[in-house]
Amino acid sequence: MKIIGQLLMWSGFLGGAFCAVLRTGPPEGAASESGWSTIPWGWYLFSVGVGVVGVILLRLAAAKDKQDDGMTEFEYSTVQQSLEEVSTVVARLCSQAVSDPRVIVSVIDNECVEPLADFANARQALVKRFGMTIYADVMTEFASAERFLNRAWSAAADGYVDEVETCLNRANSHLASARQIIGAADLQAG
Amino acid sequence: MTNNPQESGDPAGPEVGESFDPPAIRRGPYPEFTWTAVFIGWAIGALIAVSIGYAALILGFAIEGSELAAILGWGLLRGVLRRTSIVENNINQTIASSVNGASSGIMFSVPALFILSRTQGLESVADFNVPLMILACITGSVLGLAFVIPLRKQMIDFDRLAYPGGIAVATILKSPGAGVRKAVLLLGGALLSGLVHLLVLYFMGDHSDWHAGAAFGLPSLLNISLYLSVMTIGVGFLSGKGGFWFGAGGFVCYFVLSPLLSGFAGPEIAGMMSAEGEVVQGLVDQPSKMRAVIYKPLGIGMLVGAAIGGIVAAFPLILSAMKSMHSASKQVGGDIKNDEMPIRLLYGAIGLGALMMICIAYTSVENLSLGRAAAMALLGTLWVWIAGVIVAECVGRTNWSPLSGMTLIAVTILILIAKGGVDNPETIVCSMLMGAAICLAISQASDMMLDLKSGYLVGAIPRRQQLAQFAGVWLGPVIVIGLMIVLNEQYEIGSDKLPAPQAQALADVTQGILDDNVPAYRYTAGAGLGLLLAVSGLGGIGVLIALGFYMPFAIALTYTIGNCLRIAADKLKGAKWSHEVGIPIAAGMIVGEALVGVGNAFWNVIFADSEAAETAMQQSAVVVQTISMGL
Repeated sequence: MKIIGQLLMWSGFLGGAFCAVLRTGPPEGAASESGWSTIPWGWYLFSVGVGVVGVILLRLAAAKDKQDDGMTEFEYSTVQQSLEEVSTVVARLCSQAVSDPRVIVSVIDNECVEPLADFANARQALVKRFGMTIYADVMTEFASAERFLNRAWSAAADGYVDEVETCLNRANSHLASARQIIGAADLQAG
Repeated sequence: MTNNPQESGDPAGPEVGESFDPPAIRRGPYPEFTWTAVFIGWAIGALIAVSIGYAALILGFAIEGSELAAILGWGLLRGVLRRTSIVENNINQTIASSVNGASSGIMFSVPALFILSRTQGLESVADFNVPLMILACITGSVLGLAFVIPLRKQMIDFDRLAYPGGIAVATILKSPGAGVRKAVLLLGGALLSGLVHLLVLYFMGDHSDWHAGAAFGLPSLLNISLYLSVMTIGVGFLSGKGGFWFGAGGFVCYFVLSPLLSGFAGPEIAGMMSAEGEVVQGLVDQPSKMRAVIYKPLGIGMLVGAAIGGIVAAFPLILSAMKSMHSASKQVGGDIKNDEMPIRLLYGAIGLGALMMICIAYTSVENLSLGRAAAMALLGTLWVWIAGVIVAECVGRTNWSPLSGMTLIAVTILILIAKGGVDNPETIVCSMLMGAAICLAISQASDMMLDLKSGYLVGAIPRRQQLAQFAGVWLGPVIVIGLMIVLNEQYEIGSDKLPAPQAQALADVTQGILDDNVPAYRYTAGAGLGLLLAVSGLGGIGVLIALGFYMPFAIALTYTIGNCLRIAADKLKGAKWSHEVGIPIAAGMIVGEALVGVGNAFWNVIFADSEAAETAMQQSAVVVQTISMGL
């Protein structure tokens, strides 16, 4: 169904685009001299209609994929693992006083950047599993955490240790919220 | 605003990770939104706006000023003033690029009035109300920002758009703390792209396309040319595989549609054999003409359709983002509340901005009825939102902005509303005045999102950046419109000395609209196709494919090389290598070419016509001086 949907959508798009660029002005003998008769609207609408059928098939296929998708499971476990990983690192940093800001820069670069990127790359699993609202809630917390980690990096690079501590604590609390939302959504989904 | 912190000694900690000078331990608040950042931001912004605005009138294109502002701020704040905060320089850069946002917006739109005033019967259009024009531009800027700020969460937090220019700026801002290795990579990328750009300028001048297809004897309709720009490869690298559909749009045009048209279209497009046996070229064999007449208008329509479809598709996310802003503003105290600008304030700014737009339209000319003025203002305001979303998304995915296309549609809508009620000169004045406001709004919207992305990467507080952007929007219109009036008095905009090619194009289109010569049918057909792609569920492809139709294929091809390099780097060397090595080099590539571009613009301005340039520079200095004294 997916392949047929893709074929129909792209055929419809290309057909419509072809109709839209076929002429530079009204054809000879056209009933009207208006620019609108430049495009063969009947053929154009037929093509776009074919494309719409393709889109409907694609949407149906996507809805079916949501129910039985091993890939989603894999991505979802990546989301959970990477979130766990970065939370552990940030909690560890929060538990220590900042004596050397360079350590913070180094830990964020070497231990946080990769799990954060993994989470971001696999984040669509949240949409498939829980829908847009939970996705938005989780991403709000995750993005805030990432932004505060970036701020902790900047403050550490500049040597502002009080700011580093504040930002790490903020990042920690946003990561905890993200995990909490996912946990609650998991429970609700059974 | 934060205060200066106390510094305490210089502890020699253990060497961890990359080597860089150990920072002094500092206690107290981290300087971010400081008066130093504001004043330096205004000064740098004014300098860049005057320089780039003047160059744009001569060369026909504006240059992105964010990277330049970040580097100048870096030198001034860190080097001269010994300031020590990455996020403070980010605020300085945000303000400077906000001031400079006026140069591209105004230089594309307002000079068209001076050019049109040299047409018989339209002499009066140059006598527009200058304070009203400045007010319109400031109002437009505020509206653009108020519309786009609530979309920050959706575009940056949820969709995580790349904003390659924002990554480049963030890489510059972070360079003091990123270690020697990354600084060397950034500098290496900058040197490479700067050197290549110099060579291209030296050997090829402004025609920087290499017609590879012709060199290999391939048909001209395939339009295989490469835009010789290392920066474009860097932008493609930063966009990654997400930007791939941009190139695909170009391939659809020149590898699918053009060959089909050469077989099935009429002689005007496909070409023909004359009675004497000579081949008469059709449009498909002249790709640049083909793009201008056929693909570009279709691309504009597609962009609009894709954006509207995108807004509908992303509506649940936009709603969630708004809800989250509402709940943040309802909190009593707390840090979260202070992270975002209050949503009610933004609603207020939109409402007030729309009312101001009605007043501005109504008072812009004598005979415009209140109904038409309201229709112009309200449709214009709605268009600010749609076009702001389109441009912010295009810049986020590819770093290119279809600002001119969006302004053309705005001016078309405005002229069509005004036309029946007033005569041609009045139609032009009120439409251009509103058009300039809309152009500024769109320009500020995309600049805001780009700055918010760089802010995200350095950990800036969004609310402070948004305030910084607002703090800069008033100054740009004052400076750039003042500069433009002085230059027009001195040289006449549209003359050989100040050709203003973009404004000339807008003036031509305006004439075309007044003569009922608008390809609205092509826009409509494009909108349908864009809508189809936008609702397909394949995130973002509608806007990207539309941009592939709209932009020259040479740029899309070179950009695709960058996409392919990123895909290869991620696969062969791993995502960490791309982050640690690839991104600093790619960011450097953007910076190097941008700086050489600015340098070359000034070289041309100063040495191509030394007398004109000298006097003009003096005039610009007088304007800046006058404005500073006025402050």
